[in-house]
Amino acid sequence: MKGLVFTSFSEMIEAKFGLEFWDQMIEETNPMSGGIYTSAASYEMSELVAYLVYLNKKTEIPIPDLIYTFGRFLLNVFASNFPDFFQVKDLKTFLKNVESYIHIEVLKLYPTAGLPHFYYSEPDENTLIMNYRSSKKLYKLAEGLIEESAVYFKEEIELNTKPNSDGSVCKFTIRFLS
Amino acid sequence: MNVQNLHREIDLLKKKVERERKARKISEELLEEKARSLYQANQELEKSLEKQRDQQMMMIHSEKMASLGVMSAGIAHEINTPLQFIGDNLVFLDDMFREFMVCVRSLNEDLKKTKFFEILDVNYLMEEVPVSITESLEGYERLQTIVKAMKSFVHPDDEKKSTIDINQIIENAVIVSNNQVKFFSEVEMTLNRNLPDIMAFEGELKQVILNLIINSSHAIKEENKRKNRDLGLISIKTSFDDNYVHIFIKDNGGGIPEKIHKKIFNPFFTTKDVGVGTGQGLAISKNIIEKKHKGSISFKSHEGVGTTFLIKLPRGDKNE
Repeated sequence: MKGLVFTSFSEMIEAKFGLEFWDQMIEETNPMSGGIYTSAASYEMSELVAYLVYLNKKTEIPIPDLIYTFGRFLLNVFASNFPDFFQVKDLKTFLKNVESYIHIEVLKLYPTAGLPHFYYSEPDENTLIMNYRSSKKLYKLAEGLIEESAVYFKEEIELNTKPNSDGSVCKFTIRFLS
Repeated sequence: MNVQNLHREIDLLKKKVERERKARKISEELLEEKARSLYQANQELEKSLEKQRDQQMMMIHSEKMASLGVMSAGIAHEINTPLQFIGDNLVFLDDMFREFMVCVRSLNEDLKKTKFFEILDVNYLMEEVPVSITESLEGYERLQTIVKAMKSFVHPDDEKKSTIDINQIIENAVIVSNNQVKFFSEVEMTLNRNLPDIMAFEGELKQVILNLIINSSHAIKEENKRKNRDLGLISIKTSFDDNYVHIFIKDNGGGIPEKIHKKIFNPFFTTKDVGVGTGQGLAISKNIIEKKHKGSISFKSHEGVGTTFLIKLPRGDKNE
């Protein structure tokens, strides 16, 4: 998993729970990386899972909700680190660009990045269906990202999330209300 | 905030700074690694670009040579036609003048002393005209040999292998190069008359041999100046074994300096002055011998002594 996810996660924990909490989290989960993250490297996904389990234990917030919250946080990190991806006319264009442009550009920089795949369909002018597929089963992260991108583009949407049983496939139906 | 909390806060910040420092180090190492791999990729790209450029230049050069070949063949053909009637006429004049001389010799002695004979200077004509005709016929024959060699030398389009007499090719190459070589070197040929014919690309093989002879003459020219001698020597020898036909082209030029031994077959490598050599000859020769004929080209050279090139051509594919 790309380092940017971990650097963003540590930022989020620090911002929401404080430095001490993050420090304790590292000490108690004892990750192989020692909690030292850089966006250019890759790390084991198990480290993120261990953090989420720890967080869940400490806050009693369900893990899917934690992942969703992290997705929303991550969107703003992306917006600030990669502003070019956000220079589009509206949310729909941005979401459609994820597979055909953003992921291609990401792979140019990080050829080994394990990105999810999205397959699109547009049943009508105001609806976009994004079919998520990933072995990492982080559809809640994608959900948070989609919701927060609507906030970023100041657009109102209605999002319907329909995952399969193990979370490796998910159908996002986005209705553009504004 | 009490002092204890402050100390705790400072400790946490110190740990954070330490983590950041280590993360930065990892980033720098990754950056270095990336830069190295980029550099390597760039080197490989440059190398392949250079190779492509060389191949392109070789192609252009080959095409130029081919055009030159077509032109030379055309000129040789054009010269050949008037040359033939010059030859025929010379033979006719020779015959006629011989008959004329027989007639004159059979004339009465008194008639030979007439004013008419004196004005025409018949005795002088009878002495000099046969000499002139003989010299002209010799010149004609030499011209005919050169044109024949030129015609047989340029076959830019022969893409198929044919049965080749290597000795014949060498003899033709020596004739064609004679005008360039004769001022600097003698050429000695020791050709094995039992040499088997081989299957080869005739035009290209001729190009290789001619190129080696010309190179030898250039080396000899320089050495002649250095040693203050008039002529050097190019020795060409052929032989064969069970698998290969061998061609040795030896000169007593200045030799090839050891430090450039590995470079001489590289495209565009030349030690000749600008305009004298393109540095393509040996690269093309190597390509022709090794790639097209599955043979080998090698050399032995000693500075101040000379160079011997050895071409080995397989004789096994004669029945291909």
